[in-house]
Amino acid sequence: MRSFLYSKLALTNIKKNSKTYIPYLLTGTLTVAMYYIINSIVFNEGIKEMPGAGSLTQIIGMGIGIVAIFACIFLFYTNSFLMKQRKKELGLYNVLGMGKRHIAKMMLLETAMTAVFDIAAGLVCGMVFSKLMFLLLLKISRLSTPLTFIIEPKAIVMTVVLFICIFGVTMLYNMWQVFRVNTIELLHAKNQGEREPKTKWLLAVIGVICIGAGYGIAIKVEQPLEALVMFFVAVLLVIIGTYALFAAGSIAFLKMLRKNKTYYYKTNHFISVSGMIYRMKQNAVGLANICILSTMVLVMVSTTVSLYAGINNVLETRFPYEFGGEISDADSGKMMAFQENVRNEAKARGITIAKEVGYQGASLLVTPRGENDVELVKIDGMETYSASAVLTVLPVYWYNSMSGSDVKLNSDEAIAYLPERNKTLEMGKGTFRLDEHEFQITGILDEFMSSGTEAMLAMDTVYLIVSDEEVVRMLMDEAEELQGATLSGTLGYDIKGSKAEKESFLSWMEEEFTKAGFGGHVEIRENYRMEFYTFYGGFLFLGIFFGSLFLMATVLIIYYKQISEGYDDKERFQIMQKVGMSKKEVRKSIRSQVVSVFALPLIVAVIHICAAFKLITRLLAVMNLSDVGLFRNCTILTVGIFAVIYGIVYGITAREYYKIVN
Amino acid sequence: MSLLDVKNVKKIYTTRFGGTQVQALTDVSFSVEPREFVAIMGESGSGKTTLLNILASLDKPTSGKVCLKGRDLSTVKDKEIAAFRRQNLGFVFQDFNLLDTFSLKDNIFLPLVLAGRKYPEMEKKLMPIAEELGITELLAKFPYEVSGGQKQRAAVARALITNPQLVLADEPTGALDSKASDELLRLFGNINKNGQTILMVTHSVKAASHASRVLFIKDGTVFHQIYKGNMRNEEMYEKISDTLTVIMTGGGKNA
Repeated sequence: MRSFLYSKLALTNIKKNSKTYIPYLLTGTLTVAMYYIINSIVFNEGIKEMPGAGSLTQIIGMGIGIVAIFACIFLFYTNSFLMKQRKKELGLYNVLGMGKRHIAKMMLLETAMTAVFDIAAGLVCGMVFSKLMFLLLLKISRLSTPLTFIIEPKAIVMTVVLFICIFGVTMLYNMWQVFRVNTIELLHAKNQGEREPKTKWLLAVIGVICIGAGYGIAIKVEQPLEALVMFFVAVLLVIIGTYALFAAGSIAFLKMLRKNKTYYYKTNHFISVSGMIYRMKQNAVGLANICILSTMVLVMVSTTVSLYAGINNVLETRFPYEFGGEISDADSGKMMAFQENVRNEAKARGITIAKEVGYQGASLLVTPRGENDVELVKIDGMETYSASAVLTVLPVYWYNSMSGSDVKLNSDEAIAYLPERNKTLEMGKGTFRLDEHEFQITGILDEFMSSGTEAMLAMDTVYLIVSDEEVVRMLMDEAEELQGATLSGTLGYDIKGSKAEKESFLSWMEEEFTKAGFGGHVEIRENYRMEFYTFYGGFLFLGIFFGSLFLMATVLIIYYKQISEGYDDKERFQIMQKVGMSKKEVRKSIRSQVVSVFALPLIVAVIHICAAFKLITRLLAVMNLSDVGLFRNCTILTVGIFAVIYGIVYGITAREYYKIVN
Repeated sequence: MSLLDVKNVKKIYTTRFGGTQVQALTDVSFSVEPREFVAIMGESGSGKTTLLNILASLDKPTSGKVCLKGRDLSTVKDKEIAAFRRQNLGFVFQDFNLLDTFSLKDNIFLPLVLAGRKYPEMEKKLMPIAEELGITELLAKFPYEVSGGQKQRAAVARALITNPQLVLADEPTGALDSKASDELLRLFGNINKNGQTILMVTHSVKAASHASRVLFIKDGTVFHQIYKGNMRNEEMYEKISDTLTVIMTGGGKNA
């Protein structure tokens, strides 16, 4: 009978606090559902049997860990928010004669009910929506499979275990909260923390330095490989900086405004500046959270969308030719024979060759010593690569055969081609030094048919055309010891014709390539298209998945902020009305404060994105997306859509706020 | 001419769905002359707070008229009401109603800032008032750093800084200990002597004994009034007590 009382009390509590509890239950449910969905995709037997799905499940598998960590932090955060709101209520129970043990029992039941509800409802939602998500995934990754989608018992077990753990921890935390503090503190909990915040100059300076350093890295990094490494450093610095600046920088700035008497003592500024100082103290962390989550959503969605939308660009960057052959042990005679063979066959079949590339060259790893001055590097760990570039040296007769020109070079002369992407080597006409060899660069080419491997390498590539194979071999021998360089050949073809014609011709070429006995391999662009769709489709799916998860978190944090602000401000605005402020003035002042508080994270997020833009384009280059314009448009679009959603969420939650204040 | 004229004021509250009606004020009439210090006494539920809200133009009477310096409050437009209140009335509340986000100085400046005054002008006005109330040293402090009595003195300074026609005080000693109460009442007396008209609503006999006139409200009407004349505070105290005893023991029905 008595335990019945407690469960009844617990249930009433949930009902009474519905304003804060319903969103909590809703997010709990959604988090459980999303965790179940991602698990059910990874554990799905059908998906495992699909060709190319291995990489897909691997990508999505990484997501499981992230969702789990996110769920922990997020549910814990919202729970502690709820507890803070309810301290007074718990204090009252204590005063009214409930022992701490009884309160603890009540809280226990409450958390248990929440947990059971969230897990049960979440699993049901998950099962319903997982089919939908599964279809979406198949659609965007262009996998075709007989749908063998069923409820995954393994995923259910994983989900239940994780969330029982999370709710268990929050339960312990709540118990600890109840036992730790005394009654008076519980009753007055909400009045604490009303002291004016101190200016933490050190923290503010650290914030500025961190953000500055993070932005600096993002803007200065030129090399894709370096970008890959430095990206996480920059992200970490910016995250630290964002927290520090929201917490300390904002207060320092507002206090500076307050010191300016003529600015401060104006009707509009007076109330907002002083109000903001307190708001920032209570909300700095929450706002920094919103800011960082927003930035994550924006980066994730914009990059994955542009990778997916730019899949043609990716394929063309990665595979510059429809038919590409890499020959590791090159023999010029054999290569020329192959080219001749292909030309004849094309003529016989009535197929036009739109583009033909063929050359041999040695790829040397060099590092700059100065302008027009490089040295060979010894391969030694990751750092070797980050400051180096690839110098591909090829004899001039291959250049002549490709371009149909008739250039002649002396043995100490050279022509260079510098792709636009190259930022590592500074080269121009004049004397060029490579270790102790000197070349006179007599010309710089505007165009050169390059190989796709440069995009893959994630390093800048520069081409140096020299007089003959002997010079190439001499340089290669020198590099042998340091790098093990080899002379390799490249063959590339673009052809015109109907789909069927192309297909049969390409496979004929592949056969011939094998027959010719080159020690190398062939890449046919079309054959990779599906694989890329699967790969980048998986990324897009994750992008959308996390995007919506983080968006949900952002929405909930905004909602809770509005509610807690509302309760805090209620009294303040009542006083102002008594002292002689009209309802309209009060409304105006509330609006300006609330808008600036909530616009701030979005504005900072957009600034972060702008600063990171260049770095991200470098990373996308590693992933073979070179179309910066596409990425820019995707980013603008994503930011636009996000701002609209943010605005709508703000509008809805602001209504709740006004309801509380009035 | 009287500073404040209250004529046949009646206030009926209707519950939201138009069910029961509660008559808070039946028929209240009185007037306050300039430089007067009037106290209004009455039990809980007698309509004191309703009356004060009407005088403060926070609420409107169902019928009757309230005139401040000959101007009917009901003719003040809704848009101007906040400004009107700011210019003509000063408020002192039981629970001080100071804003925690402002220092005492900024709290006192609040009505002036709302009126759009310049900073040097505000500073000039503040100094004599702060000195009179003995809070010059405390101006940079925040409300949570000072005692109740000090808070209330800051609230009085906030009420006086606009040079209002009338200061309305709602149980100003209600949240103070006896020492702080005495101090505040002494200050009220001084302010009144300097020419400030004060209307105070109170429960406390002691507070009322400092006033030059005491009105007793019961069941929504002015039931009785006492002039202090040349009486000392102690004599006034006794007289008020006696009157209250009469009222409480059912004098109202028999009188």
